[in-house]
Amino acid sequence: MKHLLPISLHVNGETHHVRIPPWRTLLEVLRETLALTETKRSCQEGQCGRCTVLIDGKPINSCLYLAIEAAGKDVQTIEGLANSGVLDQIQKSFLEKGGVQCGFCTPGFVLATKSLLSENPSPSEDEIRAAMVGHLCRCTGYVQIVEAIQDAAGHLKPQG
Amino acid sequence: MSELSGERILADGGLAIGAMTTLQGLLSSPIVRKNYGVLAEAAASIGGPELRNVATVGGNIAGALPCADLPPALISLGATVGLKSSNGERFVPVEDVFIQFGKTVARPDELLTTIRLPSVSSRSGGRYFKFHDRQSMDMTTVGVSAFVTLDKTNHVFRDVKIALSGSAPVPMRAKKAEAALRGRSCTDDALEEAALAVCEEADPRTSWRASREFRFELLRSLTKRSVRSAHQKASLAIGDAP
Amino acid sequence: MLLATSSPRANNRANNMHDHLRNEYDVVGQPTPKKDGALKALGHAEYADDISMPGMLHGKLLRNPHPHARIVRIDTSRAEMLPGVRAVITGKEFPGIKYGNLPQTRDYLPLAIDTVRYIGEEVAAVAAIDEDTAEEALDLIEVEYELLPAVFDPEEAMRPGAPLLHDSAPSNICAQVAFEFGNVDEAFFSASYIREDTFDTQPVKQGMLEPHACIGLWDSTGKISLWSCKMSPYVVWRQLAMGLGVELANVRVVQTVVGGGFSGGKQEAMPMDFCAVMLSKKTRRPVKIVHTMDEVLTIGHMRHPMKVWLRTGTDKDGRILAQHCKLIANGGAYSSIGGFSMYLAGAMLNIPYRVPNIRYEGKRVYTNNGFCGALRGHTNTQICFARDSQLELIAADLSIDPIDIRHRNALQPGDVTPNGFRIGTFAFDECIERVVELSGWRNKRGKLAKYRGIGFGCGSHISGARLMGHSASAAEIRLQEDGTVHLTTGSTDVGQGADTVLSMIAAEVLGVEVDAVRFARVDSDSTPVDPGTFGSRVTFFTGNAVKRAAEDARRQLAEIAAQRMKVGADDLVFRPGEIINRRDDRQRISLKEAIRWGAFQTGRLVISHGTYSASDEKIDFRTGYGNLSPAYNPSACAVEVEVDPETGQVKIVGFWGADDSGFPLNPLGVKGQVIGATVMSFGHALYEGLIRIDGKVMNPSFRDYKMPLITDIPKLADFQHSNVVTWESEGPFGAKEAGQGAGTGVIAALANAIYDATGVRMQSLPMSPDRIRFALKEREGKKYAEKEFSPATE
Repeated sequence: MKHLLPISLHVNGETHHVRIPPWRTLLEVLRETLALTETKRSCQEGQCGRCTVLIDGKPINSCLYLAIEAAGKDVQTIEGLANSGVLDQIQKSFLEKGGVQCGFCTPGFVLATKSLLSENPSPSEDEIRAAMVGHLCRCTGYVQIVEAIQDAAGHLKPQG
Repeated sequence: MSELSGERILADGGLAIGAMTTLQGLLSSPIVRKNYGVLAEAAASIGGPELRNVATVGGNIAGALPCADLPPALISLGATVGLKSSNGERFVPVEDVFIQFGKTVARPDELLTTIRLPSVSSRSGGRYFKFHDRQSMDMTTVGVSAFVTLDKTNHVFRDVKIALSGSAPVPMRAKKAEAALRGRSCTDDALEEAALAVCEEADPRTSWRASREFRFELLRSLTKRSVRSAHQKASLAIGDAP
Repeated sequence: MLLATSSPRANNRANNMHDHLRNEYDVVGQPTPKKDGALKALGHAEYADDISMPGMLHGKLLRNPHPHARIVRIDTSRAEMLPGVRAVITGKEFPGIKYGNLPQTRDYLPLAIDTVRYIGEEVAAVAAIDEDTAEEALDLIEVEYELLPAVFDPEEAMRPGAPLLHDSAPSNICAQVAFEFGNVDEAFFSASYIREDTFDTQPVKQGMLEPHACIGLWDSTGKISLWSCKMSPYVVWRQLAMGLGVELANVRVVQTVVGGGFSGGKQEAMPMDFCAVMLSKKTRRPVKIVHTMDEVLTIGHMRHPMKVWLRTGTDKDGRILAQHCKLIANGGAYSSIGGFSMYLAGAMLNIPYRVPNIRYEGKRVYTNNGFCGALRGHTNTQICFARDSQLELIAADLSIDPIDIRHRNALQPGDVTPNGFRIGTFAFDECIERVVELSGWRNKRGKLAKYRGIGFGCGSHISGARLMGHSASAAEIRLQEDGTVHLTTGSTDVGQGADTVLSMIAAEVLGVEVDAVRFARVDSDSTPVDPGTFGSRVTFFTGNAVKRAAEDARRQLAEIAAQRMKVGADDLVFRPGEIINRRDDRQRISLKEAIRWGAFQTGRLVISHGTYSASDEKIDFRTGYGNLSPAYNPSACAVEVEVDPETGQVKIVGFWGADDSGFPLNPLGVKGQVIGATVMSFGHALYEGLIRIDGKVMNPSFRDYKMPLITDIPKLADFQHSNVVTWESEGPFGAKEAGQGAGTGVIAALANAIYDATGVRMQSLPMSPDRIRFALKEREGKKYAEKEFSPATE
């Protein structure tokens, strides 16, 4: 028990007070301590992007991020994106453009897209690819994912 | 701890970067992009946004891995690192930081705190070319960073610094290749000689990732490309903007 | 499928047929988002690793570090004493019954008992209060091994004196298939041109993002339940019962949302499944076991590395007269699907070209490596690489245009191949021409800049197979009183879109919205038995079963409505959501009302069944003769590459593909499938491969097992796919497969493009930069290494 450190994690707008060993990754704490299983474990070495969460709006691999580092920061998982089960535009675009097959990679891509579009509302195709390079998909071959991101950008772009 | 991230312009016109600056932070810095483009280029070549949002400049150096991408760019820029302990601070040129695979000169009580970049002159430019199988994300097989300064004619190499990744147990400087270019114009012959010199002084290993022979092929090609491209950049620009 | 193409004519033709068919139907033919896509995009889809049960323990597997060894002794006592450990098991915990996929291939055990045959094979398992404790316990298990000599190369394994892996297999030959049709020797004798080439391929992994995961529960009544991401839950159900020595009735397999499969471990019962239930038996708690990605990449289940020797004889116009193929597959330590893989490779040589005389000899050999089985494209991918690479070589030798040589040899609808495949719809010529148009082939081939090239590749696939064992599909439909349709089948959606397309078929027949169909995941306690998802069978076999079930439901509903409306059932027509008397359209009843009335007033529930078995035709797997599939798909593609001559790196700058998948029921889903298959083949061709040294996998991580990333595909404007629409009458609403064929011609197309760009012919996969660079160097005749420098140290 002496290994446990008390920290506050702000996840999806809610504050959680937890006591965890300092070596726990953010991924482990999200899944096991907070039972937020929408962030998945896959390669666990920062190659596939499946464990992506946004920290202060920036995408990171939670499998390589210590939970204690996240203390005091704003953590957003895919759960924080939708509003009571209503899809946000990015999620809608992924669905409508066929960007979802097995769905395992989808939340990672969606969060990365959110971060991309908040910084660059009209990304070129090359900019989309560069932003998504840390996300592996084995099902779609990426074409419909790029199309989904372009579609979302088109819908979300401020008009005028 | 706040001094460990962020950047500060130095009195001599150089730049000090905190070791905890993330790679993404580094490559979004306007000063780094404008004056030390080769460093931004090296940082941009590492992983993807998720990794770059967390990985730090200090981490890429302190790990002392031969395939790390920042050290060659830093070496070619003539950078130094600050090592701080309760006894004070010392500065070591990056090219002297690596003792062996995975080990730097930092003593157990020292913290790598800053990276110092010297001021750059106009008529200088740098490029970092690295090879990997896929178009992104891969560990570097071999990388060559070239930073050149031209003379008043804008053709002849006044100074050249070439550094390599994946070519020896530690990131290394290719001094023979530099010597082959100093005082010369950027001709095909000069580039070929430099490439051959790099292959003489590099000592890449054969691993299941890539054979020694293939690394030599890559070194030869990337040396010529990075030097030629750095020369072009230097002749066009003032400072090392990308 | 509507595309912005460079050819309005091609686009027009595609659109006309498609539009004509689409306009006939309300649901099928429309691009439809995946039914469970919203759940997945929200992050609410529950995969196996997300499931938690009260009191659940966590399991880990101990893996053997030797390529071949006898287990002398296992001492688990120290592990058992570690605080937090609740149970430790070894192979002796199980009845010692071997199980497998085919009757002839039963060589799997839940945990090794006497012998381990590859590095990574499972020897013990631990259940503990958490994963960290379970991991720590693994280190405390002492195993004494007696090392045995090992063999890794299949040709060495077949030599006299080689270490034997299985007593049942002298010369380590797991399976041998040979067949011959026509008069091969005579045909070669009469051939005006003959060519022989050898090709070899590497071990390739499925690469799905979701690692294998399961939860096992053996409750106090003796009921054994397994929750897992299985593509073929009933195969797992039977294998579990067999390996545990229990009755099928005591076993329940529940399919969780599958995060990608591509065959492999998700197709069968794995050691983790057996261990999870056995550990549960011992602890009386649910036990979850999840593989790490490095376990996934170390264990068996991968594509067979193959050495393919192909001899082809043609007439002077390049028409194939005879082919002789000898194939050696490195099968690894266990059988997996054994001889079936060898049969399939040879069978696939018979399509998409006419090969009037054919001889095939395939051997699957045991070696001390991870074992191999099915993986998207299953042997066909390797065969097409060899055959379509060679075809362009033949074309070049005979100065025949590479497109013409394909047309000259193309199978036609109505053909019967020498091995008995009866070709129905097969728009191969159209696929070829569609690709020629889309890619701008005629303006590019031979006209591109140096080190830029374009290559063509063709392939084909089956729409499900008539198997010896379980071949047929069944579906059940219940109409609910709120007008929704409850659809159950035994086939699984693994991301490919089966949930959507099967629902679309039911919705079309019943005149409801797709959203009104509830597609259930498989639960062996309640869904119909089924072979599962593999071999591109689901849309075709299960789709037909669903269509028949829906038609029967409609018939039952018509009877109920007729009774209610007091008219003849034949007088009724179905319109979306309602049933109308054709003689007096004021007499109408909604679907909901009809269902409710039937249930409430007459006790008649609408429950229907449908089955499909592709007829009673049998394949003689001994001779190789028989019509394996009810339908076949041709595919063609062209790929443009830029090769960096100094580094050998290949950049794919353009890809154009066309397939005949019959009538694409869900064009959005079909697009995802064909492009997904294509990009997997990019990886197989250029970057992927398990690197094994003395049986040890050196790159069991996504960092070093390199799969294509988003930056490895061409720009969207240069990455196009077109459906050549046909109507396959045997398929549900004219459909055929769309998940595997599209990837089969891609590797040859890349090899041919690299040849076009550089003059270097790659016959070994992967076509990695170092291999290309050195092949180029050799071709240019430079000897750099020897004379120009001396290395610093050695």
